[in-house]
Amino acid sequence: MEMNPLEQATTNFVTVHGAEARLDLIDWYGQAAIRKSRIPKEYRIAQLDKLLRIRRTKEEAAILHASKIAGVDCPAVFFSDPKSSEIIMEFVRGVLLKNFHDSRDLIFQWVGRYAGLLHSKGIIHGDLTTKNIIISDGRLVLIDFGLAFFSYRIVDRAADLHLLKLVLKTEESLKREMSDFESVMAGYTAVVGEERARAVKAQIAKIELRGRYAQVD
Amino acid sequence: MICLGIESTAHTFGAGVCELSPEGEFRILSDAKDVYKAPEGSGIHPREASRHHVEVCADVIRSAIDDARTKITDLDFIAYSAGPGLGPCLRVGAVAARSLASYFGKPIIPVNHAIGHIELGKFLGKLDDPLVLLISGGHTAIAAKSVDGWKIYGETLDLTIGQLLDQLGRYFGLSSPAGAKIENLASEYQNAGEKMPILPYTIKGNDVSYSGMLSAAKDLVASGQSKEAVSFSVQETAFSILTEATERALAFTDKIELLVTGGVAANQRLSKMLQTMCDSRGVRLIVIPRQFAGDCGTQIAAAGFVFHKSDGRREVKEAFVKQSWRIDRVVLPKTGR
Repeated sequence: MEMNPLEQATTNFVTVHGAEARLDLIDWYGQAAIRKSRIPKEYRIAQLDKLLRIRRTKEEAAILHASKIAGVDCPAVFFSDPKSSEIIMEFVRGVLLKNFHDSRDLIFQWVGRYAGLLHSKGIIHGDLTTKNIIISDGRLVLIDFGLAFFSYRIVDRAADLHLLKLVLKTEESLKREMSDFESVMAGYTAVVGEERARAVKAQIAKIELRGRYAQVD
Repeated sequence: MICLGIESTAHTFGAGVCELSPEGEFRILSDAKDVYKAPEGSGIHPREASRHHVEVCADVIRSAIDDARTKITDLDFIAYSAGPGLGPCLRVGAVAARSLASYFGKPIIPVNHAIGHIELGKFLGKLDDPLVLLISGGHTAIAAKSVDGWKIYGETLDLTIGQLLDQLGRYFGLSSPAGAKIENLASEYQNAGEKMPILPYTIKGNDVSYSGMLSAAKDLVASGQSKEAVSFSVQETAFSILTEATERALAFTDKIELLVTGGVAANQRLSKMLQTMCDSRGVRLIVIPRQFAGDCGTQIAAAGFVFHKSDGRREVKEAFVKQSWRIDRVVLPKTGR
């Protein structure tokens, strides 16, 4: 009888409960790996919950692969099983960008480049926050593609970057508002070109005005 | 300190009197209101609502003062909701507040309506630094306070949750607000063994979107699905999205308290979902009591205590109304309560 590969990897080191999934640090044939399990959400009715978990597991594995090909550093996928909603992937050691405060200009330009590379290949990350980027000696690794999807629409690209803009806004004091996001857009422009970047920027402005009770000023 | 709060942003004209003791103990002395009822199958007409407010204004304020067993001359200050809201409605409350303030020589404090929802919830739940889920006809936002003001961690990109329910209700021929009626329809849906109709599930990071769901829900009804089945699916899908976005924001901010406030906080199904989610994370959930979930003068009085120091007060001639006023644009007083 063939053994389930998941059962061979039994040595659990750490478990992290994210908002959507449980992350276990496991041993995968002698290599440290992350097992991401989308756990059933009890608040959701079973029909909807199952549908979402299967769909998201499939998409995440496919998009991680496509992102690597696009030239974005992200964890390599070792194994994926939509039915049990599990993905086993490379473990990246490092510091979350949220807790990293050196040479932010340069790093955020790279974040912008990554967004540009993904968008050029029709990939929308969907959760671009400073908790989903790891600085790992010499590498800048984008993680958690749990909300990623394929799209070439400008609105989706703009929404992707708009989320990052909001997050950077919550982390900055009002005095030096937006300098980090300006670095992001500089890197983004370098990859996608002036014209496309302009279109996306205009769309971000539209999204901001669509926010409830936004002011035109 | 005794504060009269006047609310008139949308369908409700409300007046409430609250007291804050020097020790910081908060008491609601009265909460009077009169709600404009839209005709069946239609939403709030701003002009009609403002006419309603003009008619009930004096009576509502009088009963708030009488119920509180106080006199206008005993008030320390008067707060009114200056926005965001419907222009004609806002102006009725502002005129009432300015008239009382200038005649009786009381300080006047313009207050952001959304902050009112939050501050009342904080007083009632004895909360210190919660993540706030503000859900109503006017708002769908996840917010938390930082050193220099309220920050929005997630919000709707188009319709609010209240608008989704009201507009679906209007499509069914119900009057706004329709949340309670949709909840009743959903509870009548018996889906033993069968599957509910599926609707778009749109979440972008911590942001949510409901306009696609509204169109799809209308299409389902047009193609022969029952109102009960569609109401059930809309509630399950829309509230799951909201709970998921809130859980993400909790994970991001590491907050251990969640305050749910605004009119839609009265929905039992949503409360249950949020309770399940909070239990699994060890987060303390406070849902504002049903009677204070909707718009009321009390919430404005509660916010008045936060803004009553000199930098929150205005001269009567500078007591403004602002139809568009996001909570992340509100300047907080340097000295908190």
